[in-house]
Amino acid sequence: MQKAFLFLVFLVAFSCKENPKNTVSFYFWRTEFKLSTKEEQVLKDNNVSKLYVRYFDVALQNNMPFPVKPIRFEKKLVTQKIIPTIFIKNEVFLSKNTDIEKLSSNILKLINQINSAHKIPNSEIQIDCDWSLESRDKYMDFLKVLKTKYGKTLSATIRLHQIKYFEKTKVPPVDYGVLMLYNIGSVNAKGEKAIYDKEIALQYLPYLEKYPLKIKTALPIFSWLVHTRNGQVIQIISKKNINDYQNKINFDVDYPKHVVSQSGIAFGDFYKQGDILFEETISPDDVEEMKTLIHKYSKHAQTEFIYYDLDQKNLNKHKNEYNF
Amino acid sequence: MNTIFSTVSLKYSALIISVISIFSISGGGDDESYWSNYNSTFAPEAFVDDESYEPLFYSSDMFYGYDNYMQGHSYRFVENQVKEWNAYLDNQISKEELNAIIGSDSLNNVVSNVCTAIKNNKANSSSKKYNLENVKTKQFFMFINLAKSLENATNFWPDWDYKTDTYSESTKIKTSVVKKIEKLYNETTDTFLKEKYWFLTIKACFYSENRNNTISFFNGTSAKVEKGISYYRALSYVAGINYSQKKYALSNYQFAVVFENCPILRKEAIFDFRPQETKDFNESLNMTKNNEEKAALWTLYGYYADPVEAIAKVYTIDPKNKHLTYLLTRAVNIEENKLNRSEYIKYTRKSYVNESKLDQKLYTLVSEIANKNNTLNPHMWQIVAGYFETLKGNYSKATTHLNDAKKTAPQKILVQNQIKLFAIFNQVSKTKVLNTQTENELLPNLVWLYNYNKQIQNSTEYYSKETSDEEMKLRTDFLVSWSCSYISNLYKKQNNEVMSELFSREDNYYAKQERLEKMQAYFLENKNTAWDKLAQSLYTITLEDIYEYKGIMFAYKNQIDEAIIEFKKCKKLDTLYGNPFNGKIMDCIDCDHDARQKTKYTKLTFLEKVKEIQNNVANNVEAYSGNILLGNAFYNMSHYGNARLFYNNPIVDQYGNYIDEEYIDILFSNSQTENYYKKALNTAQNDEEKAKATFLLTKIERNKFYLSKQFVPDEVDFITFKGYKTLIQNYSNTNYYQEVINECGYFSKVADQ
Repeated sequence: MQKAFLFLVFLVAFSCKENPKNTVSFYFWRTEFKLSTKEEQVLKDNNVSKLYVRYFDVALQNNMPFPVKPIRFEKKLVTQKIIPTIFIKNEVFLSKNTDIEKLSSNILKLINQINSAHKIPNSEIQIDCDWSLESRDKYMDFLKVLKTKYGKTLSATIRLHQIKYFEKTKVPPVDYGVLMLYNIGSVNAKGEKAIYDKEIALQYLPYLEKYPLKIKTALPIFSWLVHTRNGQVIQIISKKNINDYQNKINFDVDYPKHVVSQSGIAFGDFYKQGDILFEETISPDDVEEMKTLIHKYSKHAQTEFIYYDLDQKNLNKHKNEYNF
Repeated sequence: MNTIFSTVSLKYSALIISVISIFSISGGGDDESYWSNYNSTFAPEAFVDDESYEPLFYSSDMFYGYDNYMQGHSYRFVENQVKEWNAYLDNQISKEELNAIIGSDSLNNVVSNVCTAIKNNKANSSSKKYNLENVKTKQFFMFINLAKSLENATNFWPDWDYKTDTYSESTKIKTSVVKKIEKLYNETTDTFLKEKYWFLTIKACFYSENRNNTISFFNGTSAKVEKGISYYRALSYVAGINYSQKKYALSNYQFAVVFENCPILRKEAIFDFRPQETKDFNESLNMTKNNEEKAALWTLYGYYADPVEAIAKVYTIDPKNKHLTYLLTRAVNIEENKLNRSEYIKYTRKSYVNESKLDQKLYTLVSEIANKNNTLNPHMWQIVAGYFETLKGNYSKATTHLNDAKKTAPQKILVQNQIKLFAIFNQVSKTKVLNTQTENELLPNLVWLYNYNKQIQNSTEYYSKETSDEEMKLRTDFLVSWSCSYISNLYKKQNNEVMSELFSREDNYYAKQERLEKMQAYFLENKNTAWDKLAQSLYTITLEDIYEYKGIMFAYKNQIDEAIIEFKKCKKLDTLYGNPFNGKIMDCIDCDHDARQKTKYTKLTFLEKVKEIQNNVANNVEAYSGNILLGNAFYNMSHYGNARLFYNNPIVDQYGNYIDEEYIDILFSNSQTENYYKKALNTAQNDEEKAKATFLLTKIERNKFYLSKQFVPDEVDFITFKGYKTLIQNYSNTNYYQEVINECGYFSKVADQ
C-alpha cells in the first residue's frame, strides 16, 4: 500500500514536470511564399528565427531528374533566416539515369538562382528524401558530393524506422538529421492513427540512444482527413477539416468517423453516400507528449523544434503562447 | 515538337507530387486499394470496340493499359496531321518525310532554309529538293516554319533554370505575333489552310501574354470552322481558360462536348473535367443543348463519381446511348474490386467472393435494363445480369440470362469466351456437393478453363504466339483460383482431405502423419479417372516426393533402415555435391563441392554407406573412425554441412539461411553428430584421435553458441569454447593441434593468449 502511494506521488511529480523552453522554427511547405497576418503574428509571438522553406521538389520527368514547382516569393522580406529545403522523390535515386554529380550541381545552381533573385543569404540546405534500401547507396553518395560542393551546413530528414534500423538504412553523411516525428503509422481504412501514435513511436524512440548522428526534431501540427470507400482508402485530404464541408456534404458523425449521408461533390472530389472520412488531428497535448518523449530518449539536449507546417489552417488549434 | 509535358499535366503532376512530399511517410502504404486484373473475370475489351475508351477502363493506374500516364501530347495528332497534309499536297511530299518534318525536329533546318529560299525567291540546296512552283507546297513550308517558331512557348520541357521572379513554365508569345498569325488567318482563302491558321491563332493566343483573348477570338470565328479535331482542340483550350477563371460549370460543359464529339481527345477531356461542387455539375447539365451532351456529362460523372447513377441517368436519356456500354464495364470492374479477394498463402492463391457486398442499386438496374433489351449491346446486359444472379444465388435465372446473351452476342471469340466464363462461374457456384455426377458435370468446363489460363500464362512468360492478342484479354486468373478454392472447401466440408488438398495446397498438410498416409494411399490407388487427373494436374507434390520426404524424416531420426526403404521406393537419383563423410577443421561447403571425389553418393547410397559403417561400429570394427565418419555424415546432413541437398524436397521446402520454425530442431540440430563424436572420443586410442574428436565437438559447441541467447551481435560475438581449453590443456603436443592452429585463426588467437 505504501509502495503504491509512493509510486503515485512519483507519477504526479513526474507528469507535472514541464518541458524545457525551446527555439521554435517552422517548415513552410507551400509553392508560393506569402504569409497571412495570423502566420506573421505566430512568427512574432514565438520569436521564430528560422524558416525551413520548401524550395522545390525533384522528381523524374521523362526519366530524368527535374525540379517541380520551384517556389515563388510574393512577400520578399522576412526577418527569419531561410533554410532552403528540397524534397527529392525516392525514384530519383532508384533511376539508373540519375547522375549524382550533375544532380548536386543542378540543385545548388537552382538554389543559388532563387536566393540571388530574392537576396536570401545562404548558409544551410536541408534535403528531404524517404530513401529505401534500394536507393540508399546512391542517396548517401549524393549527400557526400553535395556536402563537398556546398561546403556549408547540410542537414537531412530522418524517418523513425531509419533510426531503429540505421545499420541497414545507413546514416546520412550530413551535419545533422531532422527526425520527423509524424506519419508514424500506416494509413488505413480502419481509422487508426497514422500521423502520431505514441505506442508506435515508443517502438522506435529508444533506439535514438544508439543513433550516431546529432538530431533535431520536427513535430506535426497538421491534421488530415482519410477518405475511405468500401473499406478502402481513396485519398488523404490535407489542409482541410471537417467543418470546411459545411453546406457542401452532410455527415452522420461518430467521431472520428464521418459517414457521408448524401452523395455530392466538394472541393473537386466526389463523396459517395456511405463513404467514411476519418479525421485525425494533433492536439497541443499530443505535441507536449512528443516533446517529453524526445527529451527523454534523445542523447543530445534538444534545443530546437521545427513544426510542420506554418499554415493558418494548422494554427487554429494551436494558440501560440501555449504551444510553441 | 520536342515537348514533353502539357501545362495541364504539369498542373496535376505538381499537385500529386506535393501531396507525396507531405506524405512521404515511413512504413505505410495502402496495398488494400490496389487493383489488378487478378481480381476480375470481366474484360471490358470484350464489349467496348471504340479504342478511345480504353484508357478509361477501371485501373489502379491513372489510365488503363500501356500508356497509363498523361503523356504524348505532341505526338497524338502527328499521324492525323501527316495524313491531312499529304492529301492536301497531293502526295508531293511523302508521308515518311512529312512525318519527319511534323513529328520531329530533325528537319527544322531544312524547313527554315526552304522558307528563306521562298522569301528571297532564290533557290538553295534545301529548297531544290521540293517543287516550290507548287503554291500548296510553298504554303506548307511557310505554315510549318511559323508553327515551329512558336514551340519555345507552346511546348514545355522541364529544366533546371529558375526563370524569373514570376516563375512560369515557358516564355509567352508576344501579342504582336498573335496578331500577325490572325492576319494570315483572315487573309487566307484556301479552306484547308484557313482552318490551319485558325487553329494556330488559337494556340498562339493561348500561350500569349493575353491568354484571355483566346475566348473572344474563338467566339467570333468558331461558327465558320468545321467541327473536326482542330475545332475540339481549340474548344479544349477555351475550356481550360474557363477553368482557370473558375467558371467551372462552363468549363466542364465544354469538356463534355469535347468528350462527346472527339474520340481522340477523350482521355484529355476526362482528365481535365473536374466540377468543384455539386452545383457546378448541375449548372453544366443546364447548359447542355441536347441529349447527347447531357449523356456525355453523366458519363464523365460516372467516371469520377458514381457509375451506377450515371448508367441510370444515361439510360433514362437514351437507352441506345453509345457511352452506356463503357459505363457498365467500369461499374462491373469496380464491383469486382469490391467483391473479389485473393491472397497468396505459401503455395496457393486462395480466392473468395463476398457476394453480400454487391451493390443492390446496380443489381436492380442491370436486371431491368437486361429485361428491356433495348440498348445497343443487349447481350452485354444479359451477361452482367447473369453474373449478378449467380452472385445472388439465383442460378437458374443466371443460366437464362446467359443463354439469352448467346442468342444475340456477336461471334467474336472474346465475347463467346466471356459468356463461357460466367457459365462456369454459375455452374461451380451452384455446386454444393461433390460426387461423381457433379464432378463429371464440372469436368469439361474446368479442363477448358485451366488449359486456357495456362496458355495465357505461357504466352506471357515466353512471348509465344500460342494465344492471340484478343484471347489474351480474357481474364481467367480469378476464376481459376476461386474455383480451386471453392472446390477445395467443398471437399473439406465433406471430410475429403485428399481432394481438398489436391485442389488447393495447404502449407502444413504433411505435418500430420495421418494426412500424409491418406495422400500416399490415394496415389497408390492409382486413380486415373479424368476428374482425378485434373485434380492431380493442379497439384505439385508427387508420390515420389512423399517417399523422399518420409525417408528424409527417418534419416534425421537416425532410423536408417526405414529411411533406406523409403528412398528405395523413391526413384529420384539426386547426387550429393560433396563428400558427405568429410569432417574438416573449417566448414567450407563450396570447397567440399569443388574438391575431387572418388565416390559420388546419391541420397540412397549415402544412407547405405551410413548403415554399413553403423554395422561395423556395432561389431567394433574400426570403431573410432566409424564414429567420426558417422558424426560427419549427420553434420553434413544438417544446415551446417556440405550435403544440404539431402533435405531438398518440395514438402520440406527449406532453402537458404531462413529455416521455418518446424524444421529448426531438425536442420539446426547436431545432436546425432554430437553422440557419434562423443563415442569417438571414448573409443579414441591416442592423443591425436582425441584431439580430433575434441575439436569436432567444439564445432558443435560453436554452432550452439550462435543459436543461443549468449550471442549478442556487436557485444558478445565470441566466447572461448570449452573445447578450445581442453585442446590447449591436453593436446597441444599433437599434430592435429598444429593443423588447427594453422587453419583456424580464432583458435590460434585463443591459444596465443
